[in-house]
Amino acid sequence: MTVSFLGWTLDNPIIPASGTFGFGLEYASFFDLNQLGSLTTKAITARPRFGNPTPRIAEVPGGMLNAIGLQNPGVDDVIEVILPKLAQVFQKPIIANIAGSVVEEYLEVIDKLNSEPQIGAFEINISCPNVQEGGMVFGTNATLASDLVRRSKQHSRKPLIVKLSPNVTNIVDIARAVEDAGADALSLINTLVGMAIDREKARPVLANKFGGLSGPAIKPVALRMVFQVFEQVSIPIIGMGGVMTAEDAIDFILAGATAVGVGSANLRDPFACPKIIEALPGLIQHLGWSNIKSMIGGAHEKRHHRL
Amino acid sequence: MSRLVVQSNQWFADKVYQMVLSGAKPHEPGQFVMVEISKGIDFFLRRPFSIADSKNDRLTLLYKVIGRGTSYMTTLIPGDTLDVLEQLGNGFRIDPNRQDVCLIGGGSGVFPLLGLARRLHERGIRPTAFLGFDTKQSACLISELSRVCQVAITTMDGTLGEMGNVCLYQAMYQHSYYYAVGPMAMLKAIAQKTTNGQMSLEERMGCGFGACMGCTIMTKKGPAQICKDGPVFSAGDLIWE
Ligand SMILES: Cc1cc2nc3c(=O)[nH]c(=O)nc-3n(C[C@H](O)[C@H](O)[C@H](O)COP(=O)(O)OP(=O)(O)OC[C@H]3O[C@@H](n4cnc5c(N)ncnc54)[C@H](O)[C@@H]3O)c2cc1C
Ligand SMILES: Cc1cc2nc3c(=O)[nH]c(=O)nc-3n(C[C@H](O)[C@H](O)[C@H](O)COP(=O)(O)O)c2cc1C
Ligand code: FES
Repeated sequence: MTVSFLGWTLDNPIIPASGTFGFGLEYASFFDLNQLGSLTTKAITARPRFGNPTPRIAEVPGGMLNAIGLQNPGVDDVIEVILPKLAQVFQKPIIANIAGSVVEEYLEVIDKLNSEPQIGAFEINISCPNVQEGGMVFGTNATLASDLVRRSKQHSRKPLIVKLSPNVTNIVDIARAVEDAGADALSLINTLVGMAIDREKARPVLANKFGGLSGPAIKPVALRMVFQVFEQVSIPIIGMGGVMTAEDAIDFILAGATAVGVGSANLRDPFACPKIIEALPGLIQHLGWSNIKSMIGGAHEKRHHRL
Repeated sequence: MSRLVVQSNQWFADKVYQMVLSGAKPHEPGQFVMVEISKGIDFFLRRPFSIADSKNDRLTLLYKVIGRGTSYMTTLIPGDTLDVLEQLGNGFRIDPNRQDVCLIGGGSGVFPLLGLARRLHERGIRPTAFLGFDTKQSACLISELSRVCQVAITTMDGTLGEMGNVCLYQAMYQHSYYYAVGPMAMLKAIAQKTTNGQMSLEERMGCGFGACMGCTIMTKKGPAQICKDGPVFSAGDLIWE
């Protein structure tokens, strides 16, 4: 079940995705977090953010829309209050998701979090569709993305994961650009921009009008993107989008993911991750593989020739 | 998370059903549960429902049929099971020394007042309940509440009790403390008169346990999650636009 990722060994490839797991604390009352491979925090910004007005959530066929707008208490509170609490319930390295409106904000957060020993890697969020500035602006423009990654890399004393947006014409271009700029790994995908209409009231359901689509509805898109990017980059990938079961997780690994992010599924079922982790070994065996490592990218033709 | 067994699921009033579940944990009045409507992804999110009453391992929910999920719930029959996240939220705070209290419920807001009224009654407090409904057909819980408190009723169309909005009931402002549940407009009108009380709020929820930041409001004490820091808030902490 172990995989090596960014120089650490993950006990298993399952990592809760950013924004669906808070800072882990709520889930600690449901299960022992140390069962997880790692965990990703909610986006951290330089200063506290309230986020968007409500409603921020809508249900749609096969998933949900969210327009949270990066609500978080800000990096100082994360360091002083939240990380010490998390240290009591989770002893493995975590992934800190970082967002900002301008490049300097990302750098400020990185500078402050650099000395936090709990953080194993940074995940640079260049793909949040729910904020006016920053976020997805970086993720949909290869020049801006590579500039941000290059400068983040200069500041960061930890491995840098870049979280890509699916809301682009060609995700491979962005993936290549950030790899060239020094990214150590990629996370994909973030949510797809969508909306829902309240027919009775004749207006959008979300106060923000648009929100990010996640859940099983986006899994085929996410798999396709992981598959495409895997063929064109050599850094490892955290694959995510609609993972509900161990079967879904395996699909991402076969498409080329080294680790698998579980997002919205946690909201529906707080035990989603431990259930997936428990089911994985049996499924791997059933499919006739000896271990997870050997399955990474297994669905690619080149791999079949190699085998 | 528990699998609860449907003991009964019956029509209760216009568009309102009562569901009794067994196998439940004890709940405080004002707490809520997140119900998984069905397995699979037809209903991706769970639905939040207040506890109408909780006794031993029995949980009573009263739900208004408003959309896909609540329509589906009406088809469940005794013996069916539901996956439920229990004991969510803070519940009403009861001060045994506070005797002169009233309950204010508008529409579906009256549902959680049943358990609260019974709990107050157990503590020797007999509140007055001011209930507002659209019309006589949607009025419910009147006989149940009458056993444990004084009940005053308004309907918008005057078909039962006094005609008009429950907030116009001046008598309720003579009580020194209130517990209010109902539409935002009702809560706002009450808060503008007096903030001596507690209010239960609703918002669309992603998780129900504080992880997704879907249900945030700004309070005088800073951002708060309705699902975790609430749903019951001191009226004085709320901010109204
Ligand atoms: C803390 C809390 C307690 C509640 N207690 C009760 C109760 O005791 N009895 C009762 O009848 N109703 C209660 N509600 C409202 C109830 O959750 C909604 O009526 C229900 O979710 C509607 O589901 P649906 O699938 O039929 O509607 P749809 O409109 O089809 O639902 C679509 C989505 O919107 C959400 N949604 C729609 N309306 C609301 C709403 N008013 N509040 C929150 N989410 C909504 C649904 O949960 C679902 O995710 C409560 C809500 C909250 C937040
Ligand atoms: C409520 C919610 C909040 C999210 N917040 C963030 C965030 O702060 N940073 C981020 O990079 N991604 C965020 N995401 C995106 C998820 O991490 C994930 O990429 C996406 O939801 C797809 O995975 P899923 O289908 O398993 O949910 C959020 C998703 C949801 C549903
Ligand atoms: S509903 Fe998820 S935080 Fe309240």
